Amino acid sequence: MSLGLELLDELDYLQTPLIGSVKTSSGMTASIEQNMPISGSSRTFTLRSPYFVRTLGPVDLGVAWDPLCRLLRHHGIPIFSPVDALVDIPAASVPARWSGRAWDEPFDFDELSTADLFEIACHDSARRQWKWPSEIASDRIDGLLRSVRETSGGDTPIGVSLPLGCHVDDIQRCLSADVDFISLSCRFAKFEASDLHSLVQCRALATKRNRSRLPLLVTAPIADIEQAHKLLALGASAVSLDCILRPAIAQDMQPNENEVSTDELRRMLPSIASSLNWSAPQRFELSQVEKLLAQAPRSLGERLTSVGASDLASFTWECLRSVSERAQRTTGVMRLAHDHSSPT
Amino acid sequence: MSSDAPIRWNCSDWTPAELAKRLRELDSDAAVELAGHVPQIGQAGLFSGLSQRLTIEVSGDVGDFLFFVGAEASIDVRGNAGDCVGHSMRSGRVTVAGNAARSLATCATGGFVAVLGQAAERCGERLSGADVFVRSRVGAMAGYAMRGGTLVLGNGCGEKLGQEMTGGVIYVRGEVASKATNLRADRMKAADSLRLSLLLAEVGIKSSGSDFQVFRARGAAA
Repeated sequence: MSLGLELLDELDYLQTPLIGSVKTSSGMTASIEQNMPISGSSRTFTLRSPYFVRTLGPVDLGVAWDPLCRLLRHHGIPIFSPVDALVDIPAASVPARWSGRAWDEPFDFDELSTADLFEIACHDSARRQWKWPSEIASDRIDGLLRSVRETSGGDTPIGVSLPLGCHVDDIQRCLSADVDFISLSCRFAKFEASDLHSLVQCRALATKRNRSRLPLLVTAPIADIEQAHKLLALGASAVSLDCILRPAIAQDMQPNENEVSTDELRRMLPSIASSLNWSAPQRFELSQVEKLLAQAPRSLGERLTSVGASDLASFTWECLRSVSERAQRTTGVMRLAHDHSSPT
Repeated sequence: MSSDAPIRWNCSDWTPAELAKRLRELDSDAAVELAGHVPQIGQAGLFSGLSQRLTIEVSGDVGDFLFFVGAEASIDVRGNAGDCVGHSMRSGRVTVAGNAARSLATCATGGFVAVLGQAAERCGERLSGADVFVRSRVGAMAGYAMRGGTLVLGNGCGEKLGQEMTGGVIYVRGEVASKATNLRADRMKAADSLRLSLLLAEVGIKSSGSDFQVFRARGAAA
């Protein structure tokens, strides 16, 4: 396990005393919806769920792509995808689409005008390195953002994609340019301690600039949903579920041992099979994924209730405690007094 | 082109969004004249995403990112232009009578951009299919990381011409301060001559292009 994930596991929740139900705006359950204001527009984009999917696509998923999109749509989870990957999906199954463009590629009008969220990736796709575009190097990101915003029609959240561990100045520049969101991704396959620290730092900077609710969309190779929820408490507004969904999809795609194949049925019962002209069901179900996507918001809601948070905005690092010195050092989350005496 | 008289707009009280909205409401083939020296025109992102067949004349200077991801329209700027004119432009035409700043026609995939004055550094950066003409001198690193299209430089260029260029063709008349090692000087072929003379004719210059040098990326097909 990478150090960043180990440190996440060394954080625990501070439970509130059992003093009765938490007051929420919507009644019994804590709200996990978040509104994303759009600069220069009266419209807001609602993130129905604090999760998203970033790296899954039709090429690697094959037949699982269509049902995955249907499930994501049902659960209000946006997907980072080019428009081409969704053209064959029925309209009722298309989830909120998040698109983007690396700065060294031409911006595409169709991508821009049809996306629900759009990000400008400060990534040189040719060299595979994080880098600001030369044309906006001299603090012209606001001009590019304004142009992208104008092209999208003005009602689409426009953000910037940065690596976790980027320089503080880069975050400052994005905040100055009035981005609608910042997308943060790990530079490498592992989630390092510096990545965790960077997330905390980014949230602190946004708060300092009076943008405490700035959406930070974090892509990290997390191992379970509990780690995703700790990232939410540490400052993320939404977390990618790709690393959790991949094994679940693989499990769903494995052949069911109890299912009788067409050939087997014909061999066993030739007369019945031919008379019924039976064929294998075409609809592909992702039962494991469905279960996971249904459980995730439920467990988050329970977590919010247990820490006394009425919504995601009040689910902050103050709901956490460190159980080790190094977790405290990296995240700034304090240890409890009695934790100091326990060996780590 | 419209045969009707152009619509004259004094947009000094309009926000850029309002200007964009009014332009979108116009019929195709309309001709519009915008009064110059209004702050909105100098702001970044003028005519972003515009994709109607409009003919627009701007009498003042324009800001950065003019005609970003634009298509179809024909824009004539009588003053100077900021950075990244025609960034990701798809089709249409932009003419700047004055000078253009950095990164002219960055990532432009189609259409024609002409600057009758000078252009600063990185002109035609990552050009991906559009045709670009600069009549006066251009700065360093022209054609940087160019992938396709045509860059015509009418009065020499600065250092590092064609650095990291992988496709397209650059025609230069006059002095080349230095060229990148990946760039090779090529022979002017009949197809080059025809292409060049047609592009020059677009800006009213009658020439066979015989006094131009031709540059292509090493390994790129003619």
